[in-house]
Amino acid sequence: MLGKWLSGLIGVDLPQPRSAAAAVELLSVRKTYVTGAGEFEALKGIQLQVAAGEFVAVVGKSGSGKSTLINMITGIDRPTEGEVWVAGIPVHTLTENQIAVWRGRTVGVVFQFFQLLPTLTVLENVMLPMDFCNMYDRLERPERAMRLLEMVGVSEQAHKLPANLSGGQQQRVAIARSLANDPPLLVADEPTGNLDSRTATAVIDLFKELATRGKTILMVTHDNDLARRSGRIVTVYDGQVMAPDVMETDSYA
Amino acid sequence: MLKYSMITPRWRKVLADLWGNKLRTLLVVLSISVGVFSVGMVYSSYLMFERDLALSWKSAAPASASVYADPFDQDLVDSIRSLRGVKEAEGRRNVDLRVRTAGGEWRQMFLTAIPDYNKQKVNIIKSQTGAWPPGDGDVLLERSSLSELGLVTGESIQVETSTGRKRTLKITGIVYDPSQIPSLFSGRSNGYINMDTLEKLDEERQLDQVNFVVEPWVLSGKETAPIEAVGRRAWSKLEQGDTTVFWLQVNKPGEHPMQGIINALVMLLTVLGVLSLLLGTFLLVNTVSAILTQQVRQVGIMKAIGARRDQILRMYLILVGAYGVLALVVAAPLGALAASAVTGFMAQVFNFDSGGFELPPKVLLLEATAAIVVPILAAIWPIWRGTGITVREAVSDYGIGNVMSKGRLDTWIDRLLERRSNLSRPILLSLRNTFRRKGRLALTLLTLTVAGTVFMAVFSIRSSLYSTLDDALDYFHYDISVGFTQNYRATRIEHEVLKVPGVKAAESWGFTSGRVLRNEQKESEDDASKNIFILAPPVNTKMIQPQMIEGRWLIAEDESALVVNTEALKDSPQLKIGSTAVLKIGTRKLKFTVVGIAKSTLTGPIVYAPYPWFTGAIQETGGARSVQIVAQSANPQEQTDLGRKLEEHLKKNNLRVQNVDITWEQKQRIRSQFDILTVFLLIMAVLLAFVGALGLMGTMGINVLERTREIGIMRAIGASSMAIAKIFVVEALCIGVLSWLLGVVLALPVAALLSYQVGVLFLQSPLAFSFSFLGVGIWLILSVLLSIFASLLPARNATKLSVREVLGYE
Repeated sequence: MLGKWLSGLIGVDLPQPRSAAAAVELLSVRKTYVTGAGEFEALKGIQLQVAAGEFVAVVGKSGSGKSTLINMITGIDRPTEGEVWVAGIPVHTLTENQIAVWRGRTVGVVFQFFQLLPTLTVLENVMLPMDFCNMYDRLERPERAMRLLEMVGVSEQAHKLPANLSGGQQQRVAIARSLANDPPLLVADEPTGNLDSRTATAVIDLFKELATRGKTILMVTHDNDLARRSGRIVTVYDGQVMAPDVMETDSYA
Repeated sequence: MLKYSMITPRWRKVLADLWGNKLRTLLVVLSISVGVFSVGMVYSSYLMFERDLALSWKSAAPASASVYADPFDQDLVDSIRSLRGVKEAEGRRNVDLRVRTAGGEWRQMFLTAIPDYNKQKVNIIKSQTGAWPPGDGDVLLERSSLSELGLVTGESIQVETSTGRKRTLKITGIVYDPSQIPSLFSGRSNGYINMDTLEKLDEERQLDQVNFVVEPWVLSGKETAPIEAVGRRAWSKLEQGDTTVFWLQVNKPGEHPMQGIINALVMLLTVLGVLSLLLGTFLLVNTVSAILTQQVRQVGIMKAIGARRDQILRMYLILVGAYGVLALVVAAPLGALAASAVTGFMAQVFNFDSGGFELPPKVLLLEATAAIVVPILAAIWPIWRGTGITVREAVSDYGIGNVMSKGRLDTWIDRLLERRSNLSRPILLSLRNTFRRKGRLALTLLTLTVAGTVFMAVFSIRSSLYSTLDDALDYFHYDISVGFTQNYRATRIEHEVLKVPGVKAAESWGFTSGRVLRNEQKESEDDASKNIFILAPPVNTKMIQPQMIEGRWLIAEDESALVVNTEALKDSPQLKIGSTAVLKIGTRKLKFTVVGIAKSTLTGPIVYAPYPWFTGAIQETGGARSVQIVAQSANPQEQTDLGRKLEEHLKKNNLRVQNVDITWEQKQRIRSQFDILTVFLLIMAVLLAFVGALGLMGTMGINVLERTREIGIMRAIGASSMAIAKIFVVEALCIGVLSWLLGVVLALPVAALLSYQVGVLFLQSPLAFSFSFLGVGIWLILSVLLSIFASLLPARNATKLSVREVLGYE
């Protein structure tokens, strides 16, 4: 009993990834929430495949289930039914701890409200994931964090606390942080929701650039203009993925 | 850049949490410190006075027992020394007389004459300063008597002998007598003289006390019975030498005579230490849970970027450990300081040599455990729970506490509040807020309730002590008692006493001491009771009022009737109403029938016999050895003066006075002994009240932080600073008054239990329990004040927040 409990706490060995898999693959994913008002089905059998290096925008109205969909992919939430495969790993079978370690190395998460730790400097915030996942040499970490900050253009602010930065700057830091462990997949939930349109465009450009470097990017947004600048739009409506639009998108390759 | 390689970001976060919120760190460190401080103080003072007391006591080569009798010669001492089982015996002479203090008052003093100061073997007296040994006409003062008398070496003291003559003795030095009960407790000063000086004091060159040490083979552990057996043989030896023996004082082997009182104090201190630690731990659990509640989102983010639960768990445990280390740094030196102050105080009160300050590693180990291990253990659960939150839950936390579905308690409170429909909205908010976080409320209430319970119990113990004393003194209806060195005719005594102006009534009693035998057979003498006093008052006496528990008081027709008190029964449980009691008085054996049992009231073992029959039976018909006097004036000072005048008058008329006891002075003395205990108790109560206040302040501080957004919203819809402050103050008051109510309920049984324990340890019998409503009142006022005080700072912090800050608060 105790042994099982302990291994649940400490055991973090990840299963071997399935080779030649898609970057993200969702198979008949359903999610049902039990609330005071009864059952609520947020996802009703989602099928989705994303190839490596794709920049996908997930759009949909408020309450359509797009955030839930994203949470399935990042392992923040679990499906009630169905399978979630990310880079060949069956995320739906992992324990909480395995998910934490796996996510730290595989998925970079960007939130709407930036979510930087208020008591740490910008540089320290970026170093934190490397620290938790024990990636890179200790002496190498500050330099790597600095390079990431340079890449997103906020290296000047490296030693400031997040509260002293503008919203756009904070989101750039958050993106730098999501790249800290060089994850193949970047998931952003309304990353521009709190930014003015000019800054928002700059963030999207940053994502596009990252996609050209081979990162797979999934971005939730309700801004159709911004979505159109991505490589592919996935529309979620009432817990289901709508048939793919055949709309014009900016070429980015 | 390099500095980042030294400390990784996650530990920088821990540091930032420590340093960033200084008020919170202070609060946590204080709450741990209080416990560490108390535990450390109690343990190290216990170790110190255990060490010092034992050392001082051993250095005196303390007597196993002492026998007190009417004056006898040295050869009797030698015959006791030759008894089987006696290793060493030494005789002394005690003279109880009056001396004039520096302030001009007359006080009772014990002068002890020792035949040879340089060959002391038992109850050794040591020279501190000045002359050694005392010369003819010199006196050496015991160091604990100095402040009582207000005299110093080189000065002269005037004494009054039992014949009424005044003599002057010169103080030539200070001595230390470790085996003497200190002046503070005995109410007497002690001085030491040589045998020649005895003659100057109109006393014969004789001895009246034998101190003896038994052979080691006699002893069996801490048992007093084997010593008593030897003591009874010594008693008989003295009686064969034709002297009246009064008292056999047996000491517990290796134990200071004040051990019982010291144990009572140590017990109280231990209760204090453990309670402080416990309350401090409750506080810590509350604070740690609150930190985690505040940092839900941060925990979530850390998890989102790859932190494992055990990593976060470790971060917060290290944070708690760091608080503990800080607390240890603060509390360990303070605890050591307090311990040496307590030991110093105890050394003075109980007259032992303080062996100086020492901080043994085991104390530090205990402190470290209390500072680091206990908090970490206590924090494991809240941290485990706090770090278990999922990323989804954390990220969707809006900073406004969710109200859980209503439980039965909430429904009940709501119903209660509905009836008071005239309450304003903000007050309703305060009252509802009080019950919002039930776990936290429970811990805060527990802390405050324990503090309040002990506080009120302490007041009850104090009032029980006093009511025990009042009960005891209710027994005494006389104001002054005069004892004589020998029997005189009662009519003569009363005649002389009534001549002194200011005397309202006088009554002379027969008085002697003896032992209760199991039966009339010769062998029973070996397992007779400890000594008891036999009081023979006139049967219709108005001077004492014994409380009868069973049977009846003496009546005029009584002949060999006997009333025993409960203290005497402890040693002779075979005595029942109607049973026969055999008393050995001197060489005589007297048979009595027990007719009544009286409650003993701090008076020691006493049996009462009818005066006329008893004096006849011991062939002292019409004789008396003590007289009790009622004064005309109720004024204490005038009673003291009357005692003085009586003594002078009686001595002038050739009645040899042994002692004059003024009832109110005795009462005062016992009260001041009790006060030592009550001072300790009060310190304990105040410390706990402080911990309680700290707990409440912590809780209110947490509540403000947690509801920062709510405050912002209230601000935005027009709440004034006053209104916001009021919400928090009313909430704290609600908690304060609630804890008071709970405390009142608990205080009664706790006070009863504690006062029973204190009584048994301090007075060898339970106290007459009296519940203190004064304490209940004081604690009500205190909890109201503490609540207001504890909520003011957090409330002020709340009002300082601006709407913009608050709604942007993460």
